[in-house]
Amino acid sequence: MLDRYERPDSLEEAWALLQQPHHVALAGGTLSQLGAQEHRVGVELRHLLSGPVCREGERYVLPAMTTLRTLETDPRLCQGGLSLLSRAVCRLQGPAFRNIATVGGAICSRFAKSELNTVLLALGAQVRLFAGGELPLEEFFSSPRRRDILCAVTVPVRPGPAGFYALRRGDTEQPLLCAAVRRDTAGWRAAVGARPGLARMRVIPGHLPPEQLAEQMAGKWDYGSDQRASGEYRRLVAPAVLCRALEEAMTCL
Amino acid sequence: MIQTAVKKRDGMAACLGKPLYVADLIPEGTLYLKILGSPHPFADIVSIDASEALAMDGVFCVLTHEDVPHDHPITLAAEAYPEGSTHDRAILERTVRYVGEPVAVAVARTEAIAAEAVRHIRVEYRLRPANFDFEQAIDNGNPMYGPEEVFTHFDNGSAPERNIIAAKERSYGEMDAALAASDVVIEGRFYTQAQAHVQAETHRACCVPDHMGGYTIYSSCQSVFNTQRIIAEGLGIPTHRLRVIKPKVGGAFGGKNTMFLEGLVAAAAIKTGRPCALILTRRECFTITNTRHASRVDVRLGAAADGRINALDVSMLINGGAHGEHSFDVLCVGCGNSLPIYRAGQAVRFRGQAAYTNLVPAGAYRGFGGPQVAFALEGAVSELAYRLHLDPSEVRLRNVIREGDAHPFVSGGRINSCILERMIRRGREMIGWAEEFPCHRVDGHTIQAVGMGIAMHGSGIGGLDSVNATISINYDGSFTVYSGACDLGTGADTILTQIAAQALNVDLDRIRIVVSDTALTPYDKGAYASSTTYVTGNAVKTAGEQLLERLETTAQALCGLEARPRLVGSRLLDTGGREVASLVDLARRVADVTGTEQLTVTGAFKCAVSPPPYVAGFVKLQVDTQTGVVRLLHYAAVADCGTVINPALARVQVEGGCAQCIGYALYENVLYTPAGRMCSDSLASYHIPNTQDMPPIDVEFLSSYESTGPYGAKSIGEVAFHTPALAIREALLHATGCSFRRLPITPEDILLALEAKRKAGEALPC
Repeated sequence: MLDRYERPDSLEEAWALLQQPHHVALAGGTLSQLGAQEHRVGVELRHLLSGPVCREGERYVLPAMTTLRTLETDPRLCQGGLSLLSRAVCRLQGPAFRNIATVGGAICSRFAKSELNTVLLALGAQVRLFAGGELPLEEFFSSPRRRDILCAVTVPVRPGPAGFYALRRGDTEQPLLCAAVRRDTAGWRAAVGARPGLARMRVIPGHLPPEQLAEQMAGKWDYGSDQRASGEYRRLVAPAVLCRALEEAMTCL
Repeated sequence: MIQTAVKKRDGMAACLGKPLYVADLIPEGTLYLKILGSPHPFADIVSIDASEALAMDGVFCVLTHEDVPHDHPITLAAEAYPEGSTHDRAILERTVRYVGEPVAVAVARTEAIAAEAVRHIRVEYRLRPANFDFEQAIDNGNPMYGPEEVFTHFDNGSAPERNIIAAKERSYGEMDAALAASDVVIEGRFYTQAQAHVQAETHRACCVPDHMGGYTIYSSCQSVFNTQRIIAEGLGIPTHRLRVIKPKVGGAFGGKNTMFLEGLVAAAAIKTGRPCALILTRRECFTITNTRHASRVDVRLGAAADGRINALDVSMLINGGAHGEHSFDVLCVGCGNSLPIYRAGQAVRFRGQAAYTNLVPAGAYRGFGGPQVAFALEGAVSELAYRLHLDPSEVRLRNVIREGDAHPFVSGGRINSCILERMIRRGREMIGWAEEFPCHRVDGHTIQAVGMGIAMHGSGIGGLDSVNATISINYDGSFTVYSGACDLGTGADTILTQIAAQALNVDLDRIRIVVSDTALTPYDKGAYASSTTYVTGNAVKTAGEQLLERLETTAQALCGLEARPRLVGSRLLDTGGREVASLVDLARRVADVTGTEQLTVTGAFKCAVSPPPYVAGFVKLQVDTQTGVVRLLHYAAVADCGTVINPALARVQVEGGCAQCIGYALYENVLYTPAGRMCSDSLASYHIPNTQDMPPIDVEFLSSYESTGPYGAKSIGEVAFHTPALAIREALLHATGCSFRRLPITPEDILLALEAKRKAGEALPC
């Protein structure tokens, strides 16, 4: 329960408030669980993190309040490799949910099952933190949680060849495993998600055919068990899932 | 009027969000209940200290087991008296037997206050060792009930000291000899899982005290009269002081035929003198109500080399969970409503037991024993055909029961209406069996296959169901049908109206229907066991026909005619076809002028037999051999529910049943933690198929004529469920050569089976 609600005028002010005990950030609140912890002061961020998707040089900047639905409907994000973004969210519940859930929320919650985080990692997304500056998403995910504000996420305007595959039983069910890949100068950036634990990115050099590459890649992640599938199953299907993502990307080469 | 796709009478109002449901009818000033569920799977309640909760502002009372009688056990199954369910509980228990079982109930001004109050109730428990494994529960020396804690109306096999809720055995012929005389014997052990009902509207009830010492319960339930009788018994008050009204229900599927809430809201209303309501959250709906019975079914099927079935031996063990509701009847349906789909060869046997466990109680769920046994029986038939290299549709054609056949287990002893052979032939055409059977390869990792399954059910409970329906003519020449049946969103009220219009030979808009109110409508057992069209429909038809006769003879007397006039539409015509009176004239003269008794007729129907409806289901699917994922391409269902009273409503029953069973076959599974807490307790962790998961479903009706049914009709509600799991399983056998004997069939099961096959050096079928 909240006793007080603050609506700071600037990010500086918001950041300062959030350094204090019992202050919790409010940014839409789609999946906030205020009852779970002893929060007392809500700090509204929505008005500070909203704005249109805009281009800065060779990157698009998505303000943290960008909704998942925007990823599906903004024509600039539906082209080439960036269209993976829309495919990563289009099965997530219904449009009503995607109209309120945000990119910032997906990243900051570090959802283990997130298809979007998997795709963002492969595409080479970067996060812009108020205090921490700009850093690659994989670095953000591997660093401990800090009391900072995620202002925006950026993605390359032209990510190049990229592919995505999500393995699921039902049309709107969370996937059993998913993989996103993108070819860049260092080799293949690949991420495997929808397994217990955070989506993780690996860079794999080489120019093998997709089956061999997928076999080689698949061993680089851990595959745990949960209610939906066993680690053994995930290990077995990982090469096929990666291979399908790679095949899609290779058609763009 | 019948055989017409009349729109559901309340369909548009429901679409427009009009206030039709229990929660829409809760009066201002109502108090809200919140349940404190047990955190333990099995424990005696030593003490409950509610003082802190009671001291909270807005809290009116806290109900515990001390507020309800414990002089004899009751059942919460809303079945007709004398119900077969084992009685083993009270409205609030002194011993809790599953995680989530109500321990106490806080009653407060708002739901939020009640929820907060629940957190301040202190309970001391004495823990007891729990039984979670239904295969190990019987005779494990750890009984969940003492002998004095259990009661049955008749011997239903209940043996509490052995953890047996109920048992059922039937046998015909010499099984061992018949199996020995068979060329081939298929043996298999099949498992089906518990399944959650996931009704759109969660369980909810409201109880309002009236000014004459009575209490009216508004409940989203399946049987108003059985609710009234059993809740009054459970509270120790005279039945007539309770009135039960069922408003529109947003889905029940059997889950609302156990009365979890009605006793609690009534006890709260009695204690506080205020209206009291309880609305379960989605999570509570999963964790504290009921599920389909999980089962283990062993089959031995003996056949000749040409596929002719000679012996069928079925042994069923079901998981009844913590209480005895419906377990006996599920066994009965598993036997009598499932096995007679094939002609009895030399021998047929059914042996069934239901075990107590410390899990969420099992209860009624669409199909009710049928899906469990059908999965095993049809699984064995698929395997028989596969082993003999025969077309399984041909094996079924060789063995299915036919009109006029006797069967020792079927209600009435003989099949009165059946066209299964035609249905199988038509289904094969619809799915393209000739081209598709058994399978073919689509690409490097995709195999396409077809499979089928057939199923039967009953229509009402033969020898038991007994209902009434009343029709009156009103002074404006309209009619009112009074029925205690319960439309659960199925459109049953519309069907009854159509039957009344047909019997009276008047337009549909001349008929209104008053339903599901113990104070206004005649006795009806309610909506379970696929009953309303067949059982209540017969009573309505009888009432309509008798009323028409009385109406015409009254007109004859009032008009001084020599012969009886006939009612045609809105006019009474004499034998020469001339109008002697309009219906309005006649009604007014009866009511206002002549002092004639108002014409009201009650029709009664006693269900002597339970004629089976049938469905033949066919699936075309693809399996991804790299991932084990199944994609359904097409489903074809051929249904025989006798005369189809309303083709649109019957069609959606079949489509909905298929969707629900596709979930049962591929997705849905109730899961527990090792400590016995249900963890598949949200729609994120318990996936039910949505429209996008559905393949195109083609439904075709081929109608036999059931002479005991209203205008030849039989039931459709439950039989619509069974076939997809059977057909999907068979198609997967054809696609992979692997036999899947456990539901749901997950991509993991399929991939691991394919891996095992690869390792053993066995080839895929194509």
